[in-house]
Amino acid sequence: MTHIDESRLLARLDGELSGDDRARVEEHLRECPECRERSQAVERRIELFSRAVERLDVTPPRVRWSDVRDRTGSRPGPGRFAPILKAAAVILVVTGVASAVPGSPVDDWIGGAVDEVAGWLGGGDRAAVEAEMEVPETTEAREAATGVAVRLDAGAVRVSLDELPEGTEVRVRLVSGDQAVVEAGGARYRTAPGRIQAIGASGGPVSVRIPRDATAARVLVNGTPAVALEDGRLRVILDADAEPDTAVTLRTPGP
Amino acid sequence: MDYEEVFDRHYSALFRYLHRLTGDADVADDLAQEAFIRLLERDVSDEGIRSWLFTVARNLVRDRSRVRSRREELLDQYDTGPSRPRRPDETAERKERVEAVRAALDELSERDRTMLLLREEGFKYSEIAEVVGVKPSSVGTLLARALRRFEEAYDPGKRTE
Repeated sequence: MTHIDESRLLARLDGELSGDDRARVEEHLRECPECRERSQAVERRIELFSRAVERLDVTPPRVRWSDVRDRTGSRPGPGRFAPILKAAAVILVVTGVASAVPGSPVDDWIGGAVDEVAGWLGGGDRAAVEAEMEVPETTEAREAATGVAVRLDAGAVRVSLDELPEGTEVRVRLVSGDQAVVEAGGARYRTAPGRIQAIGASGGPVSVRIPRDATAARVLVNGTPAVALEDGRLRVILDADAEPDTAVTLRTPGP
Repeated sequence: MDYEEVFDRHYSALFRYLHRLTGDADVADDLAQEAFIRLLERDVSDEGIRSWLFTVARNLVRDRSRVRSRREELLDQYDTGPSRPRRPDETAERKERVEAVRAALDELSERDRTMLLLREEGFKYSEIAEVVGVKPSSVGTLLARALRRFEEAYDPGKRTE
């Protein structure tokens, strides 16, 4: 008697056998206790694997399509964030002037620029664009025009610093207020509620500010968790020996 | 294409698959979102979306693994920079049994791991073949072998015949 190989026993359990083949396998199983036993062993393996990997599962984050879409803008292809950032940089520099002179031509120009960026984003939602462009009210930020800030999302924030050159200094510190800030020269940014992604900084120091009242905060450097907020202090995950502190500095390892 | 509907239909499964592969919820979320972002830039038929998303996700994980491997190789070579990052599961003090599952998965080849996890997500053999790039006729054999290897790695006392 020719026995059924394991791949067909598995295919039978997975509903992958054609009608004729399935009938032949079923008939053989009725007559062959050895194959029935092997089929049961395959079933146990399937069950073992299912139960095992379920132990790894966590609740998925609450992500909406609008969050993902807002990360991209509406323009395809590389560099899709550059026009927004250029406009944002200009707007940051002149916002103070415009707000000091209501009704001025500068104010109109800024309004037009924001509307234009809203158009790029595809939604035409000026308020949303302004929120995306929100920056800290500090002279330092205006001068640099390279930083972005977001408010905490349900008390939490996550900062991703991607494509950082080897040896880039990353300074992370706790600050008052409810805004997380990233300043990284030459970087492109993506933001969403409680999230900042800075991509491709030019190599100078990167500054990250985390609200000390955040319930959770994490900084990822080139895809690797690097700093976490724990018990009101920042812990450098990349350096197990480092003491948690209110301000930490690390350098990016090589690729 | 109704992207919101596509996202709502596939995000959770894609996140679960990526989290099982990477062990890091942040990375899984990031890569899942990246896959959907790339979907915006491609013309994918409705019936092929799921396979396409999981194929992109698999490639993203592989790209990320290559970068991480190279970095760890350099750290081993020079032993100078910061200490090697610990796995997220370790830092989060996950239970011992979670570690056992992850260790067993790590014993499998990347292809075997991917195939088993796709099967868990209810992929047909033809879809699994498409994602991992093997002949549909060999999927059953590869899956059966991968299940055996997982059992042996997960429960070394249990030797399959």
